[in-house]
Amino acid sequence: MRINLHIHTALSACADNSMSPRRIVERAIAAGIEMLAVTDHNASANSAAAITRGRDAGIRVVPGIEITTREEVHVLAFFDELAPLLDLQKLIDCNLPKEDNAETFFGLQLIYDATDQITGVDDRLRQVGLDIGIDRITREITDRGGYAVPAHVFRARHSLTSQLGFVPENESFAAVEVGRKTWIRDGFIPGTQVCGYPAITGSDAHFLDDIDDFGIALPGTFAAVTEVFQALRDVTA
Amino acid sequence: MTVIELIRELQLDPLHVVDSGEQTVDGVYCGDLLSDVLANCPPGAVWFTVQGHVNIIAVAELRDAACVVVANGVTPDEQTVERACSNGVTLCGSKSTGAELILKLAGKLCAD
Repeated sequence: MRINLHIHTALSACADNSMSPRRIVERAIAAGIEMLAVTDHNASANSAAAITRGRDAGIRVVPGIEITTREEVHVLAFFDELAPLLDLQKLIDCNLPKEDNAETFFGLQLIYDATDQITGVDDRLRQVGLDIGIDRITREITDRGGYAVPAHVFRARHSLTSQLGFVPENESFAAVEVGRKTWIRDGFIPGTQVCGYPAITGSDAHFLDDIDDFGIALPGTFAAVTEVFQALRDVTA
Repeated sequence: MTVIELIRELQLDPLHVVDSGEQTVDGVYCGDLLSDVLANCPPGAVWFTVQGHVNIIAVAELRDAACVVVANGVTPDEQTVERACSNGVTLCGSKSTGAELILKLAGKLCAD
Protein backbone atom coordinates (compact mmCIF):
# COMPACT_ATOMS: atom_id res chain seq x y z
CA MET A 1 0.00 0.00 0.00
CA ARG A 2 1.27 3.44 -0.91
CA ILE A 3 1.09 5.74 2.09
CA ASN A 4 1.76 9.46 2.49
CA LEU A 5 1.38 10.50 6.12
CA HIS A 6 2.43 14.14 5.91
CA ILE A 7 0.17 16.49 3.95
CA HIS A 8 -0.83 20.04 4.90
CA THR A 9 -4.12 21.63 3.96
CA ALA A 10 -4.92 25.32 3.52
CA LEU A 11 -5.52 25.37 7.29
CA SER A 12 -1.74 25.54 7.71
CA ALA A 13 -0.84 29.21 7.22
CA CYS A 14 2.30 28.23 5.29
CA ALA A 15 0.43 25.90 2.89
CA ASP A 16 -1.10 26.98 -0.40
CA ASN A 17 -4.66 28.28 -0.10
CA SER A 18 -5.77 25.86 -2.82
CA MET A 19 -5.01 22.84 -0.58
CA SER A 20 -8.64 21.89 0.06
CA PRO A 21 -9.44 18.42 1.42
CA ARG A 22 -11.21 17.56 -1.82
CA ARG A 23 -8.29 18.61 -4.07
CA ILE A 24 -5.80 16.78 -1.85
CA VAL A 25 -7.82 13.56 -1.98
CA GLU A 26 -8.22 13.77 -5.77
CA ARG A 27 -4.53 14.51 -6.30
CA ALA A 28 -3.47 11.67 -3.98
CA ILE A 29 -5.69 9.19 -5.83
CA ALA A 30 -4.24 10.35 -9.15
CA ALA A 31 -0.74 9.80 -7.70
CA GLY A 32 -1.61 6.23 -6.72
CA ILE A 33 -1.66 6.92 -2.98
CA GLU A 34 -3.99 4.64 -1.04
CA MET A 35 -3.69 6.14 2.43
CA LEU A 36 -2.91 9.71 3.43
CA ALA A 37 -2.82 11.75 6.60
CA VAL A 38 -3.76 15.39 6.87
CA THR A 39 -1.27 17.05 9.23
CA ASP A 40 -1.81 20.76 9.79
CA HIS A 41 0.28 22.88 12.15
CA ASN A 42 -1.35 22.67 15.60
CA ALA A 43 -4.73 22.36 13.87
CA SER A 44 -7.21 19.70 12.77
CA ALA A 45 -10.33 21.55 11.59
CA ASN A 46 -9.98 20.22 8.02
CA SER A 47 -9.64 16.58 9.08
CA ALA A 48 -13.36 15.78 9.13
CA ALA A 49 -13.86 17.07 5.57
CA ALA A 50 -10.82 15.14 4.36
CA ILE A 51 -12.05 11.93 5.98
CA THR A 52 -15.52 12.36 4.46
CA ARG A 53 -14.10 13.11 1.04
CA GLY A 54 -11.69 10.20 1.28
CA ARG A 55 -14.43 7.77 2.29
CA ASP A 56 -16.53 8.84 -0.72
CA ALA A 57 -13.57 8.56 -3.08
CA GLY A 58 -12.22 5.25 -1.74
CA ILE A 59 -8.97 6.35 -0.08
CA ARG A 60 -8.05 6.06 3.60
CA VAL A 61 -7.59 9.40 5.33
CA VAL A 62 -5.85 9.19 8.69
CA PRO A 63 -6.70 11.85 11.31
CA GLY A 64 -3.41 13.59 12.00
CA ILE A 65 -1.73 16.79 13.11
CA GLU A 66 1.75 18.34 13.18
CA ILE A 67 2.38 19.74 16.64
CA THR A 68 5.05 22.32 17.52
CA THR A 69 6.34 21.55 21.02
CA ARG A 70 7.75 23.98 23.58
CA GLU A 71 11.23 23.10 22.24
CA GLU A 72 9.92 24.06 18.76
CA VAL A 73 10.27 20.48 17.58
CA HIS A 74 7.66 19.33 15.06
CA VAL A 75 5.92 16.11 16.10
CA LEU A 76 3.36 14.32 13.95
CA ALA A 77 0.46 12.57 15.67
CA PHE A 78 -1.78 9.97 14.03
CA PHE A 79 -4.99 8.33 15.20
CA ASP A 80 -7.36 5.61 14.04
CA GLU A 81 -10.37 7.79 14.83
CA LEU A 82 -11.12 11.50 14.70
CA ALA A 83 -12.49 11.82 18.28
CA PRO A 84 -9.16 11.43 20.15
CA LEU A 85 -7.54 13.92 17.78
CA LEU A 86 -10.27 16.46 18.51
CA ASP A 87 -9.75 15.80 22.22
CA LEU A 88 -6.02 16.43 21.82
CA GLN A 89 -6.88 19.60 19.89
CA LYS A 90 -8.57 21.00 23.02
CA LEU A 91 -5.33 20.51 24.97
CA ILE A 92 -3.38 22.15 22.13
CA ASP A 93 -5.71 25.16 22.02
CA CYS A 94 -5.36 25.63 25.80
CA ASN A 95 -1.58 25.69 25.47
CA LEU A 96 -1.09 27.92 22.43
CA PRO A 97 -0.34 31.62 22.97
CA LYS A 98 -3.60 33.60 22.96
CA GLU A 99 -2.61 35.63 19.92
CA ASP A 100 -4.20 36.25 16.54
CA ASN A 101 -2.63 34.89 13.37
CA ALA A 102 -0.59 37.55 11.54
CA GLU A 103 -2.18 36.74 8.18
CA THR A 104 -0.05 39.12 6.12
CA PHE A 105 3.09 37.50 7.50
CA PHE A 106 2.20 33.81 7.90
CA GLY A 107 -0.72 33.45 5.46
CA LEU A 108 -4.40 32.54 5.79
CA GLN A 109 -5.68 29.52 7.72
CA LEU A 110 -8.67 28.33 5.69
CA ILE A 111 -11.32 25.85 6.79
CA TYR A 112 -12.94 23.96 3.92
CA ASP A 113 -15.88 21.58 3.77
CA ALA A 114 -15.80 18.35 1.76
CA THR A 115 -17.26 20.07 -1.32
CA ASP A 116 -14.54 22.72 -1.67
CA GLN A 117 -16.44 25.55 -0.01
CA ILE A 118 -14.49 27.76 2.40
CA THR A 119 -16.53 27.68 5.59
CA GLY A 120 -14.28 29.71 7.85
CA VAL A 121 -10.98 31.36 8.58
CA ASP A 122 -9.10 30.25 11.69
CA ASP A 123 -7.64 33.45 13.16
CA ARG A 124 -5.68 31.87 16.02
CA LEU A 125 -1.87 32.09 15.81
CA ARG A 126 -0.79 28.49 15.16
CA GLN A 127 2.68 28.84 13.62
CA VAL A 128 4.27 28.82 17.09
CA GLY A 129 5.14 26.37 19.83
CA LEU A 130 2.81 25.09 22.55
CA ASP A 131 3.67 25.43 26.21
CA ILE A 132 4.03 21.63 26.31
CA GLY A 133 7.36 19.82 25.97
CA ILE A 134 7.98 16.90 23.64
CA ASP A 135 7.98 14.32 26.46
CA ARG A 136 4.54 15.31 27.68
CA ILE A 137 2.97 15.73 24.24
CA THR A 138 4.23 12.26 23.28
CA ARG A 139 2.53 10.90 26.39
CA GLU A 140 -0.69 12.83 25.66
CA ILE A 141 -0.75 11.38 22.12
CA THR A 142 -0.10 7.78 23.18
CA ASP A 143 -2.51 8.02 26.14
CA ARG A 144 -5.22 8.80 23.58
CA GLY A 145 -4.33 5.73 21.54
CA GLY A 146 -2.37 7.74 18.98
CA TYR A 147 1.11 7.47 17.48
CA ALA A 148 3.78 10.12 17.98
CA VAL A 149 6.33 10.57 15.20
CA PRO A 150 8.94 13.37 15.36
CA ALA A 151 8.94 15.05 11.94
CA HIS A 152 11.89 15.45 9.53
CA VAL A 153 14.36 14.58 12.31
CA PHE A 154 17.52 15.62 10.47
CA ARG A 155 16.29 18.96 9.12
CA ALA A 156 18.09 22.15 10.15
CA ARG A 157 14.88 23.71 11.52
CA HIS A 158 12.14 22.51 13.87
CA SER A 159 13.62 19.03 14.18
CA LEU A 160 14.81 16.88 17.05
CA THR A 161 18.41 17.29 15.95
CA SER A 162 18.25 21.06 15.39
CA GLN A 163 16.39 21.85 18.62
CA LEU A 164 17.52 19.07 20.95
CA GLY A 165 20.89 18.07 19.49
CA PHE A 166 20.00 14.45 18.69
CA VAL A 167 17.20 11.89 18.78
CA PRO A 168 16.50 10.98 22.44
CA GLU A 169 16.45 7.27 23.27
CA ASN A 170 13.73 5.30 25.02
CA GLU A 171 10.89 7.60 24.05
CA SER A 172 7.47 6.29 23.08
CA PHE A 173 7.83 7.32 19.45
CA ALA A 174 6.03 4.95 17.07
CA ALA A 175 8.54 5.94 14.38
CA VAL A 176 10.63 8.90 13.31
CA GLU A 177 10.07 10.73 10.05
CA VAL A 178 13.01 11.41 7.77
CA GLY A 179 12.63 14.21 5.22
CA ARG A 180 12.07 13.09 1.64
CA LYS A 181 15.43 14.37 0.35
CA THR A 182 17.43 12.61 3.09
CA TRP A 183 15.36 9.45 2.62
CA ILE A 184 16.31 9.25 -1.06
CA ARG A 185 19.91 10.48 -0.68
CA ASP A 186 20.75 8.01 2.09
CA GLY A 187 18.88 5.06 0.58
CA PHE A 188 16.29 4.62 3.33
CA ILE A 189 13.65 1.90 2.88
CA PRO A 190 10.76 0.80 5.12
CA GLY A 191 12.59 -1.24 7.76
CA THR A 192 15.50 1.18 8.15
CA GLN A 193 15.92 2.31 11.75
CA VAL A 194 17.02 5.63 13.21
CA CYS A 195 18.32 5.39 16.79
CA GLY A 196 16.22 2.26 17.30
CA TYR A 197 13.00 3.73 15.89
CA PRO A 198 11.45 2.62 12.58
CA ALA A 199 11.86 5.34 9.94
CA ILE A 200 9.11 6.66 7.69
CA THR A 201 8.97 9.49 5.21
CA GLY A 202 6.21 11.72 3.88
CA SER A 203 5.95 14.44 1.30
CA ASP A 204 5.37 17.29 3.83
CA ALA A 205 3.21 18.67 1.01
CA HIS A 206 2.42 22.38 1.18
CA PHE A 207 1.39 22.53 -2.51
CA LEU A 208 -0.71 20.12 -4.56
CA ASP A 209 2.31 19.26 -6.73
CA ASP A 210 4.18 18.00 -3.63
CA ILE A 211 1.63 15.20 -3.11
CA ASP A 212 2.89 13.17 -6.08
CA ASP A 213 6.02 12.48 -4.09
CA PHE A 214 4.43 9.65 -2.08
CA GLY A 215 5.86 8.55 1.26
CA ILE A 216 6.36 4.83 1.80
CA ALA A 217 5.09 1.59 0.28
CA LEU A 218 4.35 -1.32 2.62
CA PRO A 219 3.11 -4.81 1.74
CA GLY A 220 -0.55 -5.32 2.62
CA THR A 221 -3.76 -3.32 2.78
CA PHE A 222 -4.52 -1.30 5.88
CA ALA A 223 -7.80 0.05 7.19
CA ALA A 224 -6.27 2.20 9.91
CA VAL A 225 -2.94 3.68 10.92
CA THR A 226 -2.51 1.14 13.75
CA GLU A 227 -2.06 -1.52 11.07
CA VAL A 228 0.52 0.63 9.29
CA PHE A 229 2.68 0.88 12.40
CA GLN A 230 2.28 -2.85 13.01
CA ALA A 231 3.40 -3.58 9.43
CA LEU A 232 6.28 -1.14 9.88
CA ARG A 233 7.39 -2.96 13.03
CA ASP A 234 7.13 -6.26 11.15
CA VAL A 235 9.41 -5.13 8.31
CA THR A 236 11.79 -3.51 10.81
CA ALA A 237 12.10 -6.63 12.98
CA MET B 1 35.23 32.10 39.66
CA THR B 2 34.08 28.70 40.85
CA VAL B 3 30.66 27.17 40.32
CA ILE B 4 29.67 27.73 43.96
CA GLU B 5 30.70 31.40 43.71
CA LEU B 6 28.65 31.66 40.54
CA ILE B 7 25.62 30.18 42.30
CA ARG B 8 25.96 32.73 45.12
CA GLU B 9 26.65 35.66 42.83
CA LEU B 10 23.63 35.01 40.62
CA GLN B 11 21.46 33.60 43.44
CA LEU B 12 20.79 30.48 41.40
CA ASP B 13 18.60 27.65 42.59
CA PRO B 14 20.95 24.63 42.75
CA LEU B 15 19.24 21.44 41.55
CA HIS B 16 22.37 19.32 41.49
CA VAL B 17 25.91 20.46 42.30
CA VAL B 18 28.95 18.34 41.46
CA ASP B 19 32.13 18.32 43.65
CA SER B 20 30.75 20.95 46.04
CA GLY B 21 30.88 23.45 43.18
CA GLU B 22 34.67 23.71 43.27
CA GLN B 23 35.06 23.56 39.49
CA THR B 24 36.28 26.74 37.82
CA VAL B 25 33.94 28.52 35.42
CA ASP B 26 35.94 29.43 32.34
CA GLY B 27 33.45 31.05 30.02
CA VAL B 28 29.82 31.84 29.26
CA TYR B 29 27.43 30.56 26.62
CA CYS B 30 23.79 31.33 25.98
CA GLY B 31 21.71 29.22 23.58
CA ASP B 32 18.57 27.17 23.21
CA LEU B 33 19.17 25.35 19.94
CA LEU B 34 21.08 22.35 21.21
CA SER B 35 22.63 21.74 17.80
CA ASP B 36 24.20 25.21 18.10
CA VAL B 37 25.29 24.64 21.71
CA LEU B 38 26.86 21.32 20.73
CA ALA B 39 28.90 23.11 18.09
CA ASN B 40 29.85 26.26 19.97
CA CYS B 41 29.66 26.10 23.78
CA PRO B 42 33.23 26.46 25.11
CA PRO B 43 34.48 23.83 27.56
CA GLY B 44 34.24 24.84 31.21
CA ALA B 45 31.51 27.39 30.50
CA VAL B 46 28.36 28.24 32.38
CA TRP B 47 25.59 27.70 29.86
CA PHE B 48 22.30 29.58 30.06
CA THR B 49 19.24 28.12 28.32
CA VAL B 50 15.46 27.94 28.48
CA GLN B 51 15.44 24.32 27.34
CA GLY B 52 14.40 21.96 30.14
CA HIS B 53 14.55 18.74 28.11
CA VAL B 54 16.81 15.90 29.30
CA ASN B 55 19.05 16.29 26.24
CA ILE B 56 20.61 19.40 27.82
CA ILE B 57 22.47 17.08 30.21
CA ALA B 58 23.97 15.10 27.34
CA VAL B 59 24.99 18.33 25.60
CA ALA B 60 26.53 19.71 28.82
CA GLU B 61 28.52 16.49 29.22
CA LEU B 62 29.72 16.49 25.62
CA ARG B 63 30.82 20.12 25.87
CA ASP B 64 32.26 19.77 29.39
CA ALA B 65 30.13 22.67 30.63
CA ALA B 66 30.89 23.63 34.24
CA CYS B 67 27.25 24.43 34.96
CA VAL B 68 23.90 24.49 33.17
CA VAL B 69 21.44 27.21 34.18
CA VAL B 70 17.83 26.75 33.12
CA ALA B 71 16.69 30.37 33.19
CA ASN B 72 13.47 32.31 32.90
CA GLY B 73 11.63 30.31 35.56
CA VAL B 74 11.46 27.21 33.35
CA THR B 75 11.20 24.04 35.42
CA PRO B 76 13.47 21.35 33.97
CA ASP B 77 11.75 18.03 33.21
CA GLU B 78 11.95 15.49 36.04
CA GLN B 79 14.15 13.23 33.93
CA THR B 80 16.55 16.14 33.37
CA VAL B 81 17.27 16.51 37.09
CA GLU B 82 17.61 12.73 37.47
CA ARG B 83 20.14 12.59 34.65
CA ALA B 84 22.08 15.56 36.03
CA CYS B 85 22.47 13.59 39.27
CA SER B 86 23.32 10.26 37.64
CA ASN B 87 25.70 11.78 35.08
CA GLY B 88 27.41 14.27 37.37
CA VAL B 89 26.38 17.53 35.70
CA THR B 90 25.83 20.69 37.74
CA LEU B 91 22.32 21.98 37.06
CA CYS B 92 20.70 25.14 38.43
CA GLY B 93 17.50 27.05 37.89
CA SER B 94 16.73 30.76 37.97
CA LYS B 95 13.67 32.96 37.67
CA SER B 96 15.75 35.64 35.93
CA THR B 97 16.28 35.70 32.19
CA GLY B 98 19.56 34.56 30.68
CA ALA B 99 20.24 38.16 29.62
CA GLU B 100 19.76 39.50 33.17
CA LEU B 101 22.06 36.83 34.57
CA ILE B 102 24.77 37.44 31.97
CA LEU B 103 24.64 41.19 32.60
CA LYS B 104 25.13 40.53 36.32
CA LEU B 105 28.04 38.31 35.47
CA ALA B 106 29.67 40.77 33.06
CA GLY B 107 33.26 41.49 34.00
CA LYS B 108 33.22 39.14 36.99
CA LEU B 109 34.65 36.12 35.20
CA CYS B 110 37.54 38.07 33.66
CA ALA B 111 38.33 39.71 37.01
CA ASP B 112 39.66 36.43 38.41
